[in-house]
Amino acid sequence: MKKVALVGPPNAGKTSLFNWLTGSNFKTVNYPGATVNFFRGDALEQYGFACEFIDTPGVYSLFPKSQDEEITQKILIGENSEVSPDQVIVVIDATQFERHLNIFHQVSALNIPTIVAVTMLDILKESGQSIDLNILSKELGVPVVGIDGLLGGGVQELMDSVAGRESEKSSQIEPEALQKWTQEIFTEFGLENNRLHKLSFIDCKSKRNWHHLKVTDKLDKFLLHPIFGLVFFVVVMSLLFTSIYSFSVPLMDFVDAGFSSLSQYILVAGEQSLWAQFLADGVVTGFGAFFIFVPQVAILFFGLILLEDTGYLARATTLVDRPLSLLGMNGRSFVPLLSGYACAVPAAMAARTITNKKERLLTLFVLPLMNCSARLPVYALLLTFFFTGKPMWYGGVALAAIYFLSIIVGALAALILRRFIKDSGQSLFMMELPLYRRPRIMPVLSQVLAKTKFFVRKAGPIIFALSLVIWVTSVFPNYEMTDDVQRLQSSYIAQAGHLMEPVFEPMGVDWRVGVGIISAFAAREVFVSALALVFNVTEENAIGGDGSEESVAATLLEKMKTAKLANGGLIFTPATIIGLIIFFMIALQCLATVGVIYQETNSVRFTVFQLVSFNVVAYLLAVGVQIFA
Amino acid sequence: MYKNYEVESFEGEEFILERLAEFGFSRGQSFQLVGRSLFGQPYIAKIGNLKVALRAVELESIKVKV
Repeated sequence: MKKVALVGPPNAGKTSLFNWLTGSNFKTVNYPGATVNFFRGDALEQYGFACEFIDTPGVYSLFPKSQDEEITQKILIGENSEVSPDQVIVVIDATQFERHLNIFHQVSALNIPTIVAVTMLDILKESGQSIDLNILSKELGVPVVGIDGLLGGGVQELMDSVAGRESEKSSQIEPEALQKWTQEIFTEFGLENNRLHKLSFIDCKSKRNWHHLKVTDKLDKFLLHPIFGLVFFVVVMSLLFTSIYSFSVPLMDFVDAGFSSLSQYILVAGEQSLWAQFLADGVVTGFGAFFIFVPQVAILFFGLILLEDTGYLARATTLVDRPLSLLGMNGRSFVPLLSGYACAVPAAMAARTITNKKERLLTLFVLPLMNCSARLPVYALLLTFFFTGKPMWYGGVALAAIYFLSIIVGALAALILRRFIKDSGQSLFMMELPLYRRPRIMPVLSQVLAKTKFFVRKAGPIIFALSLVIWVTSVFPNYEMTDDVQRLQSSYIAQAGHLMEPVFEPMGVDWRVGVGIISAFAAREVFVSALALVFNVTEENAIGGDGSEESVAATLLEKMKTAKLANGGLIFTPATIIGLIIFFMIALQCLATVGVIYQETNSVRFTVFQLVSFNVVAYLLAVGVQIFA
Repeated sequence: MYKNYEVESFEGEEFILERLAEFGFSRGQSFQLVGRSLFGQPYIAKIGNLKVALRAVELESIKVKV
């Protein structure tokens, strides 16, 4: 099947066009041997021609400065036959005509059959201008098609051009095609583009107001203002956070209820046999432990893509560039860091747009310190215990303080580590601030779906495998025991807890909390359910007897109040609780994150250093609290 | 109204100059500085219809006619 690559600068409407061409029939893929991902999808049948489209990462030229841009270059030069295009569609924003034409000239030099798709013609029209596409096509010597990104106009014509265009590309790429453009070449092509502009642009006599440009100027005065801009930024981010944590609740409950029901059904149908338990408590619960966070990740993607589509995300990145650069990072670190509050796995992948290696490594290092949502159930349990009998808002303030403290810890970590990572060339920020636009909901939703699927494929297997390991070690060797609590207390994981008790003791806890901490390496929130199990709290013996999550939590809190160490002292003292909160705030327990960070850095040294340093510091601080309290 | 600056030459790191060229900064081209972000930078430059955020070090690579 013919492969057609869509190439163009960021914000030129490339992804919107890709969405019209493929519908939701696309997937996110990795470039072979690299971590950078892009979209691939088949053309919709309605266009009457079968081909595959490749939506390449946005570029300002074919001379890359970031990993993303490098992949676009590699795709175009046909480095890997699997994604080597037979044709290229260069997407040009009509409002940035002359600048974007440079990419067409660079692609032309590669001798790949090319078609030009001109977008944003509606916005250009506001200024009383239009483009004579026939003249432009004649001058460029390739088909030129106008695309309406909002309504899909011109897409059929584009597909007809793709079908009719020769796909015979020259196997030989001239070496000069890959030589960087000097200022002289830019000037030379600048003159050519200016000539093309004069030839193909039609100026109507009665010029109207360029609405988008005026609105953008007005909004920027406010949104990029050092004070008002910051206030707006805080409001937008607060709304995003509130959405992630509140809108996801019914969806998470739904996922939780679905997996719980399925698990129960399997146990009943399988008459509690070992296989039924494996399927119910291992496989289904393992899937459930991962899928429960998918709604939060999807809402985060939705918020970020929506903000990007409106043009605001580039402004937000600009606003925080200076504070982040003082910590050795970049404004582009903002999106990964923000994403880290939902889940560090997609957040680590989002760091690929950072061109400077040192800034990228610092961002990846600090990422796990952003409080991901898996920590929330742990904080909720510990804070509820700590503030028992106190007004509810005490816990709320403490939770906000934990989040604030995690930012401080992240900043400190960045400040310390920046001294130890070698400089890797000049840092580059330079960011285009696109015109503000009304977001296009369907392309946004399609991208959310594709990115969420990619996240599930990437992180799911690791978390699922770990959940299985935790299940096996918590059931064996005495899998025949019918009493869950007794079985757990004699399991391999409990044996590991006992064996490691000397390690946990300085934290003021015994092997039972140790089992919770070990279990949290599968997923942090497992700490709560593991604790319930080792403290003999089940749905059957929970206070109230209704077996609800609330009654299990209330019973666990009661048991925690009286839980004692072997020496007779209480386990859960204020010092232990604070120590555990600090431990969970800093410790790098999520092995899915560790795996992704290794993939992103391709450095065992960096990954091991991060894993060890975070866990050692977390442990020492928890022990320190115990000693000094 | 904002002051117009005309690019005279460039001086700085090669990859910064390349990106400046990709954004349309070329000799003789005029641009305006229309704002500054939090803590004084990045600067916001307007070149034609395009707005670009530039750090001080990136902006300093552009030598303008006085």
